[in-house]
Amino acid sequence: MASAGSGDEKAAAAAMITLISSDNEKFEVTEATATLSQTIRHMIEDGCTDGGVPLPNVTSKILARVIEYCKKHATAAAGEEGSSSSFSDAAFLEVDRAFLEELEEFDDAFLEVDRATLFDLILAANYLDIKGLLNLTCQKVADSVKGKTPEQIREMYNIVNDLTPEEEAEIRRETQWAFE
Amino acid sequence: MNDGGMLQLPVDMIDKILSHMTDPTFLARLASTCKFWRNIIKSRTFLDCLRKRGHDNGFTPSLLLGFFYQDSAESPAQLLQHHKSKRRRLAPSFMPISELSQSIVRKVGCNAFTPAKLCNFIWGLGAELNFYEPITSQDGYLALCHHPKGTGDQAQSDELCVCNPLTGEIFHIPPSPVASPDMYTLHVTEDVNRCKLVSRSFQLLAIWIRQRKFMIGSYCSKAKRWIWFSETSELIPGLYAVPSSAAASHGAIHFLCGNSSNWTLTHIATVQLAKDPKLSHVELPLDAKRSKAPLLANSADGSFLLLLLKGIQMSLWKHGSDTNSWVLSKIINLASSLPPRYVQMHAREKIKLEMFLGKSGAVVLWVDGEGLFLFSLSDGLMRKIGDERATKKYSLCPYEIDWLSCVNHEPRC
Repeated sequence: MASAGSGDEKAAAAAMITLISSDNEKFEVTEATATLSQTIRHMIEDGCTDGGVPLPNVTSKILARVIEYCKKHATAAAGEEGSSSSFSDAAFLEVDRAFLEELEEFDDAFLEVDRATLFDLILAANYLDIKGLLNLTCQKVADSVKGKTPEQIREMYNIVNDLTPEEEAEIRRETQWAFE
Repeated sequence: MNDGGMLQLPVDMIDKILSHMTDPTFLARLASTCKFWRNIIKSRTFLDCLRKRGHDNGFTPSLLLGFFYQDSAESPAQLLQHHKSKRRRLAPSFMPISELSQSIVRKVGCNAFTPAKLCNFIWGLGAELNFYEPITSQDGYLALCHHPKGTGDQAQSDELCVCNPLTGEIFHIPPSPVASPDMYTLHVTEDVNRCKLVSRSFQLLAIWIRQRKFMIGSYCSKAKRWIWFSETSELIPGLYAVPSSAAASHGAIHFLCGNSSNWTLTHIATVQLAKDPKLSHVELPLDAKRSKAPLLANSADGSFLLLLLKGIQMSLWKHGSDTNSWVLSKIINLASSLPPRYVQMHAREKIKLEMFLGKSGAVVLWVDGEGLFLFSLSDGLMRKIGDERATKKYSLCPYEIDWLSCVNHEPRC
């Protein structure tokens, strides 16, 4: 399978879980990666992951991206546990900072997707209950309207303006400061 | 799902996305795109939820928070036009804080933003408020003052104006019968009439500090005139009042007072606003007496807050009016909020408290060689105020207002 090799070295850490996408593709991931999803964590705790975890709401394309995110953040979580939590020490602060910066760069690159994929990622993150990914993707959507005029937002999201002139005037009057 | 799929997301996802939008400007614009967004954003549930955000830590996140400042450097064309009179200034600008970068620890630097002109707030405002400087603000009202340049030695009265940028109201205030007060402050009251309709009125207070007494004049927006001038009793002997530290709320103005023998701040003097103002004193906590320049502010519930800075550690004290005692409510170490280079460069000696807004929990800090920073007590994030003109030199006046107060709830069907 895809992730052969890592299994032999640390038997305890490498308990593998198979995830099955809606289009029946199988993904083998470590337990540490999979348990970033609260949904899967509960399934593991309940002992019902033998023979793979079917995820009928997530396509293989999206699941591959979600796993990519989980892998990166699972190592991040492991790294954090190892490092000192003493924030007063400048050296440790520096290490933490470099680490966080790298993670941030990863997140930024990860979010470079089209809008449809972004919405699918939100739905998957919600279904799989991955808090970090849900926050990240929702923030991305929220940021997408920053600095945009109502017309630009409509264009971006194919929104039809169905407000009556009175309703539009009322909003303008109440929030004049928000418009140029 | 097609590209316009945002509206097809489940409701709780939509709420989740909205919870990530912190800037009221974006919410207002989104609300005016279509019925769907308008109905969500203007619904009572959503607005109530916004109000509750951040309440756990005792501060109301003022969703529209920023500074009004007097911008004397306009576009080159305007500069050219006014080059003959260097002192000429145009209408105040507003710099929104919420559009600044998220936090300087995450990404050092700050986002580009455009300060808004006062005419963005007040529809149809022409040159009317040009050359006015923002002097004080309270609950959405902003007081502006223009000092006319007198010809000769004769002191001229200040030209005063109070406006509400969120509602667009402008009130021109007749000159005070007594010239040149030491300071002005605004006091806003809410009155509920028999039909339970709330109306707001303001008093513009002019304060003269005469030795150990305060003289207070009041312009009332209801009476539309200066209604009284009265003197308080005297401060405790040996005390002097610090005019810039005053904070007005809940029918009283508070001043920090120092001891004139050793120049340390020792008391807070409270003037109860009335025709015969009453003066009372509260002693500062011991830590504050040792601190260089503590800042005083009013919290949303009417008690007063004191902010101290020692090295890079801030401490927040709260005075309970019921217990009449000081409680240390928070200690904040700025080391983790400032980029490491500031901490390593021993910036601790070069950090100064500038302003403190008690309702939103916003603290403005000055870092030598770096400029102004905004620290939010509610989310613990430090933001850089990246506008070189946003300094006290340009009459920087903080403005904190819950913008929701001017948005109508959708009437229930």
